[in-house]
Amino acid sequence: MDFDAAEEQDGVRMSFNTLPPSRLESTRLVVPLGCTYTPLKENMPTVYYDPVVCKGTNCKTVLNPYCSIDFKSKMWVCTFCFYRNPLPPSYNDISETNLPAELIPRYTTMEYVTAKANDRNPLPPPIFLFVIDTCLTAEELEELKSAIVVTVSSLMPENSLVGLITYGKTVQLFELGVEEIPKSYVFNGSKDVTAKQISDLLSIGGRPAAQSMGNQTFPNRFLLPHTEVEFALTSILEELQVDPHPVKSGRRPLRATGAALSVAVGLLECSYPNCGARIMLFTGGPCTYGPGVVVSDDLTETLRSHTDISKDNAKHTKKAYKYYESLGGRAVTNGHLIDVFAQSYDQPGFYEMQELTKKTGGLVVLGDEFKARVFKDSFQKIFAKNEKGVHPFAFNATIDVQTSKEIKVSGCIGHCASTNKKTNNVSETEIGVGGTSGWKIGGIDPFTTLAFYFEVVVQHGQPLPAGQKGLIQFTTHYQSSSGERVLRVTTIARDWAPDTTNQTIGAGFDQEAAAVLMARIAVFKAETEEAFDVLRWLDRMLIRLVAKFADYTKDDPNSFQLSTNFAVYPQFMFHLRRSHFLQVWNSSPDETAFYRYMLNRENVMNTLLMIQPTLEAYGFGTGAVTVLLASTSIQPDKILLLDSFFRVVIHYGETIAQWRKAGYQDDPKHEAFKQLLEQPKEAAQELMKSRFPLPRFIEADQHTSQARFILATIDPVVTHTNQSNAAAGEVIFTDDVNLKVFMDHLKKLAVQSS
Amino acid sequence: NSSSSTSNHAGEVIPLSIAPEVQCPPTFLRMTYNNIPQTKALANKSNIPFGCIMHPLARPQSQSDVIPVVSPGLCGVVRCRRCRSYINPFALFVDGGRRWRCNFCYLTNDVPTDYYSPLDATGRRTDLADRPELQRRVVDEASPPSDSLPEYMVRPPQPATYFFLIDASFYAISSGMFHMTIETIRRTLDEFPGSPRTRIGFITFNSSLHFYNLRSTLSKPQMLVVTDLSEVFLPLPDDLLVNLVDSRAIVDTLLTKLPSMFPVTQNVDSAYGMALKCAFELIKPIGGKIISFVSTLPSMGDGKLPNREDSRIVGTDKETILFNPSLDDKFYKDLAMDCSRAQISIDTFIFSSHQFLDVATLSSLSQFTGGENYFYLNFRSDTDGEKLFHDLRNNILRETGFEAVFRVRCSKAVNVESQYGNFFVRSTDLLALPNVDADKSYAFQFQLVDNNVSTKYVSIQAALLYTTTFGERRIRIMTQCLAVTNSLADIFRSSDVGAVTTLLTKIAVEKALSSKLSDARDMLVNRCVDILTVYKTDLASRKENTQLLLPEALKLLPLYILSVTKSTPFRLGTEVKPDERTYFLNLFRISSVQNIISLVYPTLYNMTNLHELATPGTEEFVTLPNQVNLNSEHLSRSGMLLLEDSQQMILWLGRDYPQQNMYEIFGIPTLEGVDLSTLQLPQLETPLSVKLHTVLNAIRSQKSVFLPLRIVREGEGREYLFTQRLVEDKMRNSTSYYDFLVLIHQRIQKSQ
Ligand SMILES: [Zn+2]
Ligand SMILES: [Zn+2]
Repeated sequence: MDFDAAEEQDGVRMSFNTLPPSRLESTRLVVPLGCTYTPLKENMPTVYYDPVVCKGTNCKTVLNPYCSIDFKSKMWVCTFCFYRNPLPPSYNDISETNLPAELIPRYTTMEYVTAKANDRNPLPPPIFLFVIDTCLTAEELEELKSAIVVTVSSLMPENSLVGLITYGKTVQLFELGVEEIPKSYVFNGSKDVTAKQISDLLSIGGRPAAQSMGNQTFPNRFLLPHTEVEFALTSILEELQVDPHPVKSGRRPLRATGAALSVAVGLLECSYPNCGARIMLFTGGPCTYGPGVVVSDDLTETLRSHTDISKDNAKHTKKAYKYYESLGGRAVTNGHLIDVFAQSYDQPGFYEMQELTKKTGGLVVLGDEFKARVFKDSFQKIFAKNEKGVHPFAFNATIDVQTSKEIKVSGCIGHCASTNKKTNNVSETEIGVGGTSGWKIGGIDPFTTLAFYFEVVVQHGQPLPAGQKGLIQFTTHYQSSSGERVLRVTTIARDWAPDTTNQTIGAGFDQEAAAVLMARIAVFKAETEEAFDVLRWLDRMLIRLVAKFADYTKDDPNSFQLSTNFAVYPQFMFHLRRSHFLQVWNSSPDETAFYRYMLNRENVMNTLLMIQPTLEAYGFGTGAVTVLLASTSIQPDKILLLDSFFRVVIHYGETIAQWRKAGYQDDPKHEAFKQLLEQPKEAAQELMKSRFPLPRFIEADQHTSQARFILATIDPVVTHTNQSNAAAGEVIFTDDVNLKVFMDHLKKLAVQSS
Repeated sequence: NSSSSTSNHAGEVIPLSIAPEVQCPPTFLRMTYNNIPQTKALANKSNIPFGCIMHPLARPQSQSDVIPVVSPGLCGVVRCRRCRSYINPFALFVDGGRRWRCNFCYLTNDVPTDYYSPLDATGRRTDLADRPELQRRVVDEASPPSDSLPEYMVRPPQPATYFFLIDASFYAISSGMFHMTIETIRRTLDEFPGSPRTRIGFITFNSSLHFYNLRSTLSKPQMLVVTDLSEVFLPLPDDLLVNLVDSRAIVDTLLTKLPSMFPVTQNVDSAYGMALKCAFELIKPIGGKIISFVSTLPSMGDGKLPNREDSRIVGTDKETILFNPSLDDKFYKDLAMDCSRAQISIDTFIFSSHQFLDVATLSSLSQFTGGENYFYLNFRSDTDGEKLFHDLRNNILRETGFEAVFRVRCSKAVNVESQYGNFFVRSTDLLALPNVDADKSYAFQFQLVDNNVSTKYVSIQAALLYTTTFGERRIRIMTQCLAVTNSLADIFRSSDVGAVTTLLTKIAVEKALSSKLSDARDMLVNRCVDILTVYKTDLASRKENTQLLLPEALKLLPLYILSVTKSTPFRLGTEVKPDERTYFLNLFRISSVQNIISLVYPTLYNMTNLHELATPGTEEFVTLPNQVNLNSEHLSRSGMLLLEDSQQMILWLGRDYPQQNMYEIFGIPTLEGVDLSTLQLPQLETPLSVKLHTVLNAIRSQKSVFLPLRIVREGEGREYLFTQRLVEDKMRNSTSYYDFLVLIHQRIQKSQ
């Protein structure tokens, strides 16, 4: 099976593409049966009519290429419940040569946009509610303001509605339809603003509750078409000042992020439930005031560390986490999403706020400054149109999973919230967010990738229905950026393994998908369990997996052999073990939360990049050569380009660095050197172009402090404790085991007779 | 040194001279009588209240009312070491001018070196001509530099500070009050006192509070709405109260744009209490004036008031509870105390659409902070807008003193028994005002400390310490020195019927509030009878005479007392609403002698022959028409009368007032069928119209407050507005002046 082609067609990558025939066999696979799914993968066929839905009891599956059609009687048989459905009258002309799109074999994924769904109850255009922290330096605030002004004036989807909240010690909600003088509602940042207060607010203020503009009426005065209020909004932003409340020395500014978000969530909840809306939070640091406080304003109180959190010494963390979790929950219930743009890379208090984005599918950009490219480019990228001239993001998505009766859904790991859909195919075993067959996401985009986990429930020895495949159907309802209701249906079918031999099942193993699915489970566990236990669990699972699928003679490590489609898997696990997803001690809790957030968002290829970065070497006349992610690759006359998804690092070998310093590149005699320097830079730009958020770009000379970004990532082939074969490469000061040692151990343990 | 520490009769100061130019002008101080009774028995026997009415920042009525400002030398203001009284014309310089003897406690003080002046042969200081404080009974002492006398200067003098709290609920908007208020402030901005230090700020309110960011660097003001009323919350730390010069353009924009920010609304709620608290928080660090505009009973948050008006008690003795603040209220009283401590005074403009607004409870604010109430019944901007405009302008522009305290000292034979006015009594002789202005009077009742006064003279000194609008700390010192007498005749002869009536009225106000209206009326009449009885029994020469005898100085007393009992607050009956009565009771509490007399016994001009009146062009020299008594004898079917009571003017037209005249005045031959309640007097080119306007303007120019003109016609429904003021007539619930005199006479005879 061509995994890439399958992914191209459906946005799906499965761990095992041949299904184990029984529950017992399923559990013996070690790596769970599961798949990643990218529900908004671009370029899927679209039709403009209603889907044909099965009328079987408790079955809502949509007609798909795997259904059998009785062309004579114009009936179709549901592949999930076997109910015989009549085809609708409009399908009267159907024949084997005249198939509707949804029956064409390669259209296993397709979209329905129907006038019926949209005209009956038209959705408002997408809503953008900016929530801006004013506890910034004046310079930073200017940068942020100009970024938002540009967005409002030229980048937002046509017709979209816009709103503005600013906050510092207080929270200000601007009424944008006022022409005379800027008007805002101000809330005390020390208090949670209840939904009742917001709904009262919407019906007071001396103006009718609804606001008319042109011939349209809007439910409130705070969210209005950006084209109508652009001038008002721009003038408000222009006069927006750094929070005027004085900050005493030894104090942090009072930043009421929690209260501000509560106003934002409440406003949308009251006026636009289940309509696409995104809250874009721009914050300069942790919440220090009011509900959701992460750290007090007293500078002598330091921000919590991983140790504080794990030892339960973090004073505010639990309470704050709960607070933001509940806000995120309210937002996603109403189909809204919350993005977090933080100006402080390592200490914005994102750990506590993570559920805002994790539950709603919001985006996260942590950068050092709003004037830096990481923020500016990433922010603009959100509003960039795709080749079709369409904003590729979408809102208010619900994903429902239907399965053949042999398969049940254990759960989902990704940015979503359960809709508590208790259908028959919900497994009792939970992985990630389980106990449901439906999930909701406030916002999705073409990157959004969810991991679903399944369980085969066929009892051992029980025969499988002849000629049937195992089927999974994803139905995703969402609101497009242009305000249309869209239904995407993806139906995937996999063969059942005819027997229990490892070979058939093993042949269908997608080690990349499996690594990603395991990584998500490991990270999910790491949120609640001791890191050490998670690592032990990963090791155990790896050993069990290779013990099951490798060829070896018992107790002979040298006989150990893995087939190609398993061969790289241990290496992924090796890098995962030492990645910042699980080794948190060199990162702040906020950074860790962010890394993990990204891991749960991206597709298989990007996730692998995060786990195991790529390393390319550039030398004279060699062009780019992929080299081992190992210290042996560091050579004085080579330039290395490391891509770890989060960072793109160009590392100049000692000699190159010296030449560069001497300015050889400016000498026309050394044109080749100049070109050599440019190659990796161009390649780096190319890598960064498509990525969200923009990676941090670092240039480092060998032996300088910046070089740590490479040294920390690569395999320490040669360490100070192991210099026996110090023939080549750099000595790395670390106690980590290197890949060779790791593999040797693995082989030894795998072949051990138990 | 024995002479400086003893105070005995030998040390009593005898005034060197009480020349006419040093007489204390009655504009500032009026005693009920100008002698001091030597014994308590004598004081009691006269039955005339012993006291005075002081009007420290009164507008000058004549050249002699212009107060000299004295700059103290390096030694500061010279005061008695022991009793802290200020040096004054009645202090005696002794010992070659090196020492002075206090006329209050008789201590001999050293004269500070740089205040020293040698004495001439008669014992006067040779520099007397350059020392107004030694010549005039009223002077302003500019306060000395702060480092020399820290006791006056707790902090630098405050800038003139005005904070406006404007109701923006349904009635405020629909009546036009909101717009008129904003417009008035806008048109007055150029004239605000205290420039360039003046500070200004605004809150508007209905069910929510609206603050305004007036930072000078903004291009437009910003409106900040607060809906959470659970606690005081200021949306900004600065810029809600700004320097008027710096933020002038922004304030202008605000006042220009505000009316359109408040189109017709259904919002009938008022969070006035919370608005007040926020305003208090904002100006607390500075002090100053909160000027609020209220058209709705506070209905939300702190300071919410129940509608306690009960039609069953109106007109009964129980009505008194409606003239007093609600017993449940702590909010307004507590806030008033906080304001007093923070040097804030509160003026309240109250607009009633016949709804009960609990003026009594709201009045605590002005009463304890030296503020003032304004009351507009059924306000409509087309008919009452002009009055509001002038009232508000006067409120802002009149002479005002900030962070003021008022202290009255007397020679030890006499002390203050009770005080009347708007203030908070901080200690027995110290009143915290904390603002004082040209329209505030304070009355004091004195008592003798001992049964027998052993001195020949008694001094009374009032000192008002205040900050002028331009930020100068000043002390206005008024000193009165009165001879002691053992003669009842002296007391009657030196009586001031205006002062007596005023003091009795103020006592009656307290009686009405502490007891009931009928008790207040009875007290007034009884007091009048008692005074006249003692006069007849002890002083009248022909004791056998059965006629009613009136002392010369007090011959108007029965008329005035009758008028007080018939005035709006004391009148019997139910047509005066409790809110209106309360307003007038409060007004009487702060009014000067002149205003009280005018309020109870208005001036009535006979305008019937206006066309014959010679009226030269300038208003200062207008010959006003004849004044006539307030009785209906002067009403003729073809006549025209004008009544003025220092609050308003009423033009009365007889049924048969000549058509030609009518045409000249109104431009129409008849007022038949014209709605007089909204009729404005046109300004025409005709001789009669010109004359009428000249007269009206002349009368208005004499008054500090604007007098709106109402027009009534004989026989028309609203004629009672005029006729009820004819106090000499018999009315539904009261006797005529003649009958009253008869009644008094009978009672005097009965008591003998
Ligand atoms: Zn079905
Ligand atoms: Zn003394």
